[in-house]
Amino acid sequence: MDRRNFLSQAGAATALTAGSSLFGATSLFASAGQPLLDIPELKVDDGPADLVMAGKDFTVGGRTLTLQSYNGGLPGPTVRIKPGQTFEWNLINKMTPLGVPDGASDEQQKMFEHLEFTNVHTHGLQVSPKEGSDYIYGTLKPNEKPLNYRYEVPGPLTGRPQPAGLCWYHPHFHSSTTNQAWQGLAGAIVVEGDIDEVPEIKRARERVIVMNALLVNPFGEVPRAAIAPNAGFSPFTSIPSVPTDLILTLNGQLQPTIEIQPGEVQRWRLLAAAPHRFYWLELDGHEFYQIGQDGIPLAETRPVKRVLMAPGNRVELMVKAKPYGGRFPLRAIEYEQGHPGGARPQRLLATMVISGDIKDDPLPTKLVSPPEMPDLPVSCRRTVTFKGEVSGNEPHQGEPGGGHGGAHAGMLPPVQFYLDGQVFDINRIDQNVVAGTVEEWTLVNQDVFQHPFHIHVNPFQVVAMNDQPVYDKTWWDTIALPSKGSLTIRTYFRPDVDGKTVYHCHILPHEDNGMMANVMIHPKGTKLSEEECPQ
Amino acid sequence: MTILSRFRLLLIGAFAAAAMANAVGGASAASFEDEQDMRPYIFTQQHNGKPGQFIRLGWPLQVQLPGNPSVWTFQAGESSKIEPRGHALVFSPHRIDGTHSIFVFDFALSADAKAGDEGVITITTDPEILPDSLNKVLPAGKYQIKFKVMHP
Repeated sequence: MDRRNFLSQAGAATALTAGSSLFGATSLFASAGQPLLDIPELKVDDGPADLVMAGKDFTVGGRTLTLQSYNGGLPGPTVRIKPGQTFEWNLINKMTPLGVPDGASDEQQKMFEHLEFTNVHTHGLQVSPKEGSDYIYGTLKPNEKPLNYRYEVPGPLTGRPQPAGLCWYHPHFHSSTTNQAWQGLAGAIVVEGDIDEVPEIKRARERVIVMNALLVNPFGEVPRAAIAPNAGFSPFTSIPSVPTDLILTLNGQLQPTIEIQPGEVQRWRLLAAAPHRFYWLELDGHEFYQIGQDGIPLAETRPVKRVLMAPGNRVELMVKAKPYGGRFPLRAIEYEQGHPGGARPQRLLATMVISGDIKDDPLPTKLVSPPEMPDLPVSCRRTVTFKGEVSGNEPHQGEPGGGHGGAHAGMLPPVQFYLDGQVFDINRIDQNVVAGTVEEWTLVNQDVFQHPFHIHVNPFQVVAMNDQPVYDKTWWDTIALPSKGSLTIRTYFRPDVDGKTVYHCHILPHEDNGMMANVMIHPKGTKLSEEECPQ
Repeated sequence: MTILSRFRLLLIGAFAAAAMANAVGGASAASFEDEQDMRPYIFTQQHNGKPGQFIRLGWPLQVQLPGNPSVWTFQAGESSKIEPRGHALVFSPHRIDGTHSIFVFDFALSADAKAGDEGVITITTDPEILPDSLNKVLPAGKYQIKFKVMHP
């Protein structure tokens, strides 16, 4: 790492000012304010596409970052599909190590080689989790033969087509998902369908906006090391320590401008791809008009002043500009998500700039008919308990299926996170369910950390919070649990998809450190034992 | 109230006042990103005793340790190539059993530190008051980071 100079890379050859603000600050990102770019698209209509993962230099806010990328983009290219479509891609891993700490021995570098192992998850697509499809147990090491993925997106003939909305893809190799998310490795999947034909939506300018959080050292690389949470502006440190910055980008840009005409309505498809940071979004002087959540449309437009996005969430919003010119900041306002040291600070994400000819675009009101929860009895009722350990004081449980980074029973890992008292084991089936049934799961959070629960394949609705009923038909695939509280969700395991998959916390440092479990979706008609199907 | 516990309250009050002053002085969202500071090397309890740490000349350091009611104190006599640059107490309840806050110590490399030097930071607390939740990662209430200085 002697090839570059820490100080000059940081652009901060200023006198030492430690202590002048509590956690340090920076002006490394001076060149903000460029117009928001549209993300390039990846064609998947004409046979298998290549999704190539490799390092690349990016200029973000005037600073050079060297990050792993999908097809050389930050974020990865957007994919557009339709219900009933089958698409394929070949995942190609050409990643080489980045962010190696100063003085790291060969042994330490070897310990973290898994940070370049990968696979890919199509988050929100209701497709098979089996090998060759949305299979998150695969391992693709650098320069190995590409992994081929083929997705049969459910169409109208299934009786339960994939809803129209925003899904996404990202790496899902247990123990490296966080590092790869901090590289900005994520991309949008737009499922086109009925809601796009609502006239007020159809005429609106669409923006796909991927929100990344990049945790970088002064070289502009993600630390290739174990991490631990800390208080302050940049929420994680590495072991060994290196100074880190957390850069929040929209479509790979720092604090871009979003241009809009007075009175114009735009459709913003927002993806929270950051592995840890919650976004409590607020646009000065404006309301949002929400039309979708987690890739599933709403029945009616929902006016909201602010919208909270946990890691993994997507929201689709209509934004109507004021009928006059001006600059209106889009912020992630301060939010207490339970991280050590208190609330995540407010950050400016972008500025909406209103200028040009005045319009008076209409906003939609009635939308489409979202999927219904089938009128079936609840077949099983389960409880899943979330608990984290951030002291670094708890001996390692051992992790037979995912013990990367030299972890072994008895050592003191920096953190450990548990579901039902256990860390993830790839070989253990934690829940057995049956396709074509409805279940209720009560998710109990024993922490102040607002663990976002995510389950693959099938979305869910919330029916109770802290055992008190909730009347809301919104579908989610990721939802933040209340601190020291519970949510009860109801889900329908679609009848045409079976196989082994996972549920986990979508704060990815929690998932990577144990907070994930396996669910086996048995084929429709399978009989479960009483033990497998608690009431 | 014992003399010891009164002393602790005073210390906590001093830390809290320092934290408030810092917050008032520099943490508003608008000014935060405009400042010229450099990010520190941050060390937590998970770094205690870990080998292989390098510090580049010119960069600040910071140690964050869970405490309250435990009180952490910098031990200048057991430290080298390091100078304190202030401290604060940050409210952080319910994260780690038996602690309510994080003690934050800012440091700079000493003026005479040069590449190749070895240094150490030592911070201690009363092991009788240290909660069980930290007794393995911070044995005997002693925290130590050894480092080697390198070119910037």
